[in-house]
Amino acid sequence: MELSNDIPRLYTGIAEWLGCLTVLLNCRRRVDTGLFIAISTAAVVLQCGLLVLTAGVDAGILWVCIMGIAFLQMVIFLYLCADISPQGVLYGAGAAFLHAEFAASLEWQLHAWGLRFYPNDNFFPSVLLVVVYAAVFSFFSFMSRRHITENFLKSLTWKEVISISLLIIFTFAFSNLSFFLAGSPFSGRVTEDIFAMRTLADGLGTAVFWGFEISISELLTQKELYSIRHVLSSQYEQFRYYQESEEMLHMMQHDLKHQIEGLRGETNEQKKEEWLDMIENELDKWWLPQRTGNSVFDTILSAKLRRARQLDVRITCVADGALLNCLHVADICTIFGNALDNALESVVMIPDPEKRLIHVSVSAQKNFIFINISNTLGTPLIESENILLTTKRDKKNHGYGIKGIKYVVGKYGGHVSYKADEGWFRLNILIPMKQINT
Amino acid sequence: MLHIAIVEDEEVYARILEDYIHRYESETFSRFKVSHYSDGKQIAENYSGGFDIILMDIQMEKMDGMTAAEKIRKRDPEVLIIFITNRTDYAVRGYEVDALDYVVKPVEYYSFSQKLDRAVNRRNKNRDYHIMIHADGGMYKLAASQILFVESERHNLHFYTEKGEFVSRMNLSEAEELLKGSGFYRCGKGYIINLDKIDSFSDGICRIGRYNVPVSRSKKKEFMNVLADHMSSTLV
Repeated sequence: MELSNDIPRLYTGIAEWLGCLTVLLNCRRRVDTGLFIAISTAAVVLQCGLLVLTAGVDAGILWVCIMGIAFLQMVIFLYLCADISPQGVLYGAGAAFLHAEFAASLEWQLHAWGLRFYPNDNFFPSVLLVVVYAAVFSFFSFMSRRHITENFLKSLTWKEVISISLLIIFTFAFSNLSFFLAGSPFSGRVTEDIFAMRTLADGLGTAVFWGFEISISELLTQKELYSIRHVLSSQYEQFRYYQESEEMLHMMQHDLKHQIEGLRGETNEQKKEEWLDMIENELDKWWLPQRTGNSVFDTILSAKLRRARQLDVRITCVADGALLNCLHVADICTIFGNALDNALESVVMIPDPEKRLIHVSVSAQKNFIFINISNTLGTPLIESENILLTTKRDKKNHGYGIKGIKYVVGKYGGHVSYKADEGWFRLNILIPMKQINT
Repeated sequence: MLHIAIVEDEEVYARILEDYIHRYESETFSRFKVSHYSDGKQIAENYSGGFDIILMDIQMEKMDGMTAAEKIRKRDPEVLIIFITNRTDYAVRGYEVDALDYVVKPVEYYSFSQKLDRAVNRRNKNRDYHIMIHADGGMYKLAASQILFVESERHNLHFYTEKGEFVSRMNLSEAEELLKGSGFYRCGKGYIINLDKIDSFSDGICRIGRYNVPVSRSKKKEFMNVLADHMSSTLV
C-alpha cells in the first residue's frame, strides 16, 4: 500500500523519544543530570536518525525489523538511565512505544484534517506538532505518575510484562493492518479512513493498557496494606504471648518470695546469706520493669530486654510510660515492638558486643509526646521511597515495620522521622497531645 | 571547663569512673574538673550548684541516688544527671528527676563514653547565644533563648521575646542568618520560630504562649522533621 503522505518518520522518532522521557521523569535515575542530558540527546539523534534514514522502506518484513530496532533503542535508552529492574525497563519501553504510536497517529490525523483549512500555511504543521505532543505527553505523564512508581516497576512479574507486551504488539499490528493488507475486512481504503482507524486502534490499545496498569497498581497497594496489617497483628500477638509469660514470671517471683520466707528459718548464717544472695540475683535477672506507668509498654520492654540479654545487647530506657496511656494497646505494640525489633536486628550486626547500644526515651515536651529510639550503627543504611531497607534476609516483610509505625503514628496526627548521625541511628516520633484528647 | 561530680559510695567504682573520664579526656582532647562525693546526702545537703554533669550511683547507704537527685533538681534545673546503677528498674523512672540517662554496672567504657559525649555536647550547646539588633534608635542585646519568634512586616522585623516586643529594620533572611544553628526555623514566608518555645502544633498553627504562628502548608512535613530532630538533639 502506498501512502505518499504518511507520518513523517521524524515525528515518530520524536514521539518515541518523548514516550521514554515520560517514563524516565517518573522514576529514579541511575545517572546524574549532566549524563542524563547527554544520553537523552544521543537517544533522540539515534531514534530520529534511524527512522528518517529508513523512511524509504515499504511495509514488509524489513519494516517490521526496523520497528524492532527502534524499540530496542528505546529499551537501551531506558536501561541506561533508569534505576529499575529488566521487567520494569521492558514495561516502560512498551508503554513509551504505545503512547508514541498513539500520539503520532493522533497528531497526523489532525494534521491531515487541518490541511483542509490551512493548506498553505508553513507554520501550521510545526505548531500542531508541538501543541499535540505537549498535550498528549503531559496527559500521559500525569496518568502514569500515580502508577509507574519505583515500587510498581520493581514488583512487576514476567507474566504481567508478557501479557502487556502481547497487548502492545496486537495493538500495533491492528493499527497498521491497512498498510499491509489493502483488501482485508479491517483495512480502510481512503487515506483519512486509514488514519482514523489507526488512531482508534492505538487509542483503544492505550485505554486497555491503562486499565491493566491501574489494576496491577491496586493489587500492589492491597498487597502492601496486607503486609502492614500482618506486621501489626503479629506484634499484637507477640504482646499477648509476652503478657502470659510475664504472668508466669510473677508466679515464679511469688514462689521465690515464699522460699525466702522459708530460708529465714535456716540456722547456718553463712549458708543462709549465700542462698538469699543467689535467689536475689536470680530475681534480678528476670527483671520486671513494672514501673514506667504503662503496663503494655512495660511488657514489651521487658520482653525485648530479655531478647537483648540473649543477643548481648545493652538497652537503656528513660520513659514516662503514663504518657502512652492515651494510645491504643495495639498501637503501642506496633510502635515499640517494631522499633525495638529493628534496633535489635541492626545492632547485632556489630561485632563488638560492647558497642551494641540501644536507648529508648519517652518524655513530654510541652504538648508533645516525644519518643526516641536510638541504636548504634554498624553498617550504613539505604533509604528508598521512605522505606528503610536493611541487610536482613526477610526483605519481603521488612521495612513494613517502619511503615506500620508511620501508619499508626499518623492516626494520632503525629510524625515519624529518622536519621543517622555520629554513629547512631535515631528514630524520632512526635505526637501532639491535644489531638489525642479531643 | 566542665565540672563533673561523681557520687559513688564504693571506692572501686568511683575509681573506674574517674579512669574512664581521664580516658575520655585524652581521646577528645578535653579537660574536666572532677569532684568526689561518697554519699547522696553529702552532695544534696548544702547543694551549691556549679556542676555541669553529675554521675550518681543509685544504691547508696545514707541517701539513695533518686532522693538526692530529687533534692538537687529542686535547686538546679540545669545540671545533667546520669545515674549509675546495677538495677535498671529504678533508672527507668529517671524522667521523674529529669535525668538524662543511666549506665549499668559493671560500667563499660564504650557506652559510658557515648553517654558522656552526649551530655558534654548538650551542655556546650546550652551556653547562651546573643544577637545584637538595632531597635528604637539603639542597639539591643537579645539572648537567642529568650526570643519566641520573629515576624516580618513590610521592611521591619518584630522580635517577640519573653521581655517584650522589639522592632528592627532588617529583613528575615538577615535574621535567619544571625540565628542560624541556635534552634530556629523559618516556618513560612514571614516567620522564624524558636523551636524550644513551641507549645503545640495542630492544623498548621504553632502555638507559642499566647501567640499563634502559621506554618506554611508546603513546609508542614519539613517542620515536623526539624522539630523532632531538634528535640532529639537537645533531649536524648
